Amino acid sequence: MEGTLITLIGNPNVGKTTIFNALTGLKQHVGNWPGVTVEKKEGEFEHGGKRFHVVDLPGVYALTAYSIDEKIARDFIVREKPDLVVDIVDASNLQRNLYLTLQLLEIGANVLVALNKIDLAEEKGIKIDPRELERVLGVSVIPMVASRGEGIKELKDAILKNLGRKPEPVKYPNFEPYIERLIRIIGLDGRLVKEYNPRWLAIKLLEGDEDAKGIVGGSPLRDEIMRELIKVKKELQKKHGDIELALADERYGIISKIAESAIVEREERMTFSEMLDEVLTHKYLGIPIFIGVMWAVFKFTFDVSAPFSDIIDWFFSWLGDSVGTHISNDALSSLLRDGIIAGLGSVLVFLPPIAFLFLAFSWLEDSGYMARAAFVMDRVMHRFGLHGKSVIPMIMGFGCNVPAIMATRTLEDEKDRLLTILVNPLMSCSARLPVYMLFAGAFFAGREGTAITSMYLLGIGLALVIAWLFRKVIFKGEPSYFIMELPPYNRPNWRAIIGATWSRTEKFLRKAGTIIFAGVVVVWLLSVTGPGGYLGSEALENGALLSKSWVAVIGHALQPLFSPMGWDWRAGVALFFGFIAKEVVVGTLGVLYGVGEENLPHVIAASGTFTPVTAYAFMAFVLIYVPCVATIGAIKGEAGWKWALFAVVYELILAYIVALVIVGIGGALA
Amino acid sequence: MVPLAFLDEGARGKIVRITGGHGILARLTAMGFGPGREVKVVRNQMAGPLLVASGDAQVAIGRGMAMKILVEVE
Amino acid sequence: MKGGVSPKTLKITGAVLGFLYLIYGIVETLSWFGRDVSLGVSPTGDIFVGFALLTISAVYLTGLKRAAEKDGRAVAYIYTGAILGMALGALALLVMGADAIEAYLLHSEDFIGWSPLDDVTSYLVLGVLSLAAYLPVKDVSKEPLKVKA
Ligand SMILES: Nc1nc2c(ncn2[C@@H]2O[C@H](COP(=O)(O)OP(=O)(O)OP(=O)(O)O)[C@@H](O)[C@H]2O)c(=O)[nH]1
Ligand SMILES: [Mg+2]
Repeated sequence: MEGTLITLIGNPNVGKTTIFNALTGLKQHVGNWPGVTVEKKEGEFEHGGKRFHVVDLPGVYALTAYSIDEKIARDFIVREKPDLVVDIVDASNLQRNLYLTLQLLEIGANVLVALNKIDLAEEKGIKIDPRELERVLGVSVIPMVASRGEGIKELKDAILKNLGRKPEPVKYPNFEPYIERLIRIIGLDGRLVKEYNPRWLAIKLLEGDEDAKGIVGGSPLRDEIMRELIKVKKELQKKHGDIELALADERYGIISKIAESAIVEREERMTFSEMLDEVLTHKYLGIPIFIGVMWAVFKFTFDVSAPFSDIIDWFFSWLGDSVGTHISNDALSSLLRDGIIAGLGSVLVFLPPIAFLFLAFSWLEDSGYMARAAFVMDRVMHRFGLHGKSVIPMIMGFGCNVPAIMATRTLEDEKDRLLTILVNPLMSCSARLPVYMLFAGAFFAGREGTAITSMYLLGIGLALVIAWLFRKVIFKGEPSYFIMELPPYNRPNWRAIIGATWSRTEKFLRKAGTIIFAGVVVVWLLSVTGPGGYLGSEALENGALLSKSWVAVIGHALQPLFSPMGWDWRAGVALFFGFIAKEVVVGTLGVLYGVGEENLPHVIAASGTFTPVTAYAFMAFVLIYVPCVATIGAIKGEAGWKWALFAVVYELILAYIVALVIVGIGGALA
Repeated sequence: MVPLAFLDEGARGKIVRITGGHGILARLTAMGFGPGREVKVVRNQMAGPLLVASGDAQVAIGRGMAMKILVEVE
Repeated sequence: MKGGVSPKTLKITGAVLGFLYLIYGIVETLSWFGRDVSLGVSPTGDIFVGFALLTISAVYLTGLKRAAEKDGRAVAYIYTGAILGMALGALALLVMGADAIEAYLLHSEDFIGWSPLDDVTSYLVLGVLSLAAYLPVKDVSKEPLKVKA
């Protein structure tokens, strides 16, 4: 690897990614709950004429071999031997964070401590003297407030200055003689000593760590080491009982002493986080507040974004008109007007609500409320066979299912995780919003809000029922144990919120410029050509001509499938192409209904191809049927092909059944 | 010795034993909730998870899990 | 007693705002069922508004109950109730701003004859009133309960 390798490590939610982004200028996902980063991220920066390669690891509480995350982090440090390990310590939670610091020092890593969130510590009434902490730990300590960019420069300088150091190991008085005895024998194997820190191996052997046993198992001195280990362990057990526990106790003893000398002042206060938690995690008030918060988020998304959508709508109809009058070549003018402007325009009108949705969710993620949502919903989730932590990916699913499915990695249990992944596409993502808004506007004018809300509720309801069903049939058993740290609430950190909103909106724009663009161009092309050749732009205005086009061929082939729901062939074509990305459903309808001057909802409502009932069934079908290509890819990546295929199949069946039921009930009522 | 889940809000206790496997034990210990730690129950509403504090750390612990953490009440 | 706010203040704010939110919560809920009762402002007809107002009312009233029981945590309910109420009020202001853009800048058909007063909803007014509940308790978290060296 080129340059100097440094890695960022620390407990979950201490601000590793915030620091990583500040160092490298990248924009990785930051959020205020433990377990945002689920995959190691890499980046680079230059300082003092040197090139640094930085790795951001998922948060860990310790370096045992019991959990996958911890094992990955530990293997990275043991195997890759980074030149410097920046241990990010949350100042508002010093004791717990130092547990990891001690373990890093045990490994013999070159540790530098970034003491982050000192603002939060002060708010809690805790004052820490960084120089004193430096003295007792024997490594450099840089105080910082990463979210405001304070201390980044000092951190860079310290990184430069601390290269090539070797901190003193921490001494465990009650265990020293025993550790020494093991080290003496391990030290005889030159190869082992070169690869690993013998002191670390000795401690891990005492703890009964399987990996350490494996490492020693490859040594020619294996038998001697094991014999000594058994002897030492027996003596220790007589003295302390369970060795692993006794060592943990020893570490906490040392930590208490360190904290005592480093924390110079402590007041007890009722922090505003505690006051909010008293209410937001209340047994009866918690869930109604959660529902209220979700409603407010969507109210904000729809009502406040409306004028901006009108501006975009107005812009595209103006553009369509001027292209129509200024370009005389029929094919080109039609491609621009009927294909790109009508198709892409009908999707981009929804840019404002989508951006506002991202804004609201970025704020929610920054606020610290997500962890509380998991807390209050744990009971409900449990009833349906899901885990409390499943709530976070489910809420994220309202934005986009792809990162939501990645976020399921915070679930330790494989069954819980698979279940959460499989139902996630039922959480209605932002790409489905255009379809709802279009159809609600066309067929449920005046009650759009209720119609759209009911779609979201339908999605949530189905997700819960399906989860319950799968738990009964496929993933038998109980959801695993729930342990989660609740981070303090943040006052809105606008820099982070706007940054996150922009990077998500940008992704949507990029998707509009590539996949959705390609989708509508293909649909246009297939509409103006047919088995008999080029039909001319008139096809999009003349029904008889359009029925000779390729889209009509596809549509009519699909029609038998959709005729029970009463949808015409154009709906079939839209659903067919919507598989690429659900916005394309709207884009396709925009092309097929030849929207020039009038807006799409009016045209569709006036065309008579849908009744309110079949339109509602269509909305539900779009909600449920096959996840988009990117989501299928994410499921495949997280759970494998088999489950991705399973998700596609079950959702298609479910969508079909639900749409039929809606049409059936609607027909009976009418 | 009683399960943590039985403590009232505001009660303090000392963790004595954690049953339910080494993985859970190691995780809780690393989070500051291992045997020997003093803990305070911040929230226990006799349904849903508990909120438990040890030092400055605060975690939510599921009711099932909290039944497996045995504490000595002071 | 915690944080220097008198229990009497907590009781009065809890009672006044708790009942105001309760009344308007009921009015909004009734309006969804098609029974419009107008108490100063016209109801929105949105069931979720009714739901949100009733929830905030419950938060304030729990604060009142805790204060009556001399429980130090009462202040948390008044504080949180005020924050939720103000947040909802801020949302109403944003919606009003968006509608103003529609009416005055874009001259949209649907907004002909719109006036800002049309968007003065119950939760906007109550949000402003919640400010009165917030001010006395806003600094509670800055006052130490105990000092350890
Ligand atoms: N008050 C305060 N908040 C901070 C500071 N640094 C980061 N944060 C916030 O802490 C939260 C967590 O930050 P992240 O950078 O996502 O933390 P992480 O360590 O990468 O978390 P995981 O990936 O979940 O392990 C975010 O809401 C940040 O805005 C700080 O110095 N002070
Ligand atoms: Mg991170």
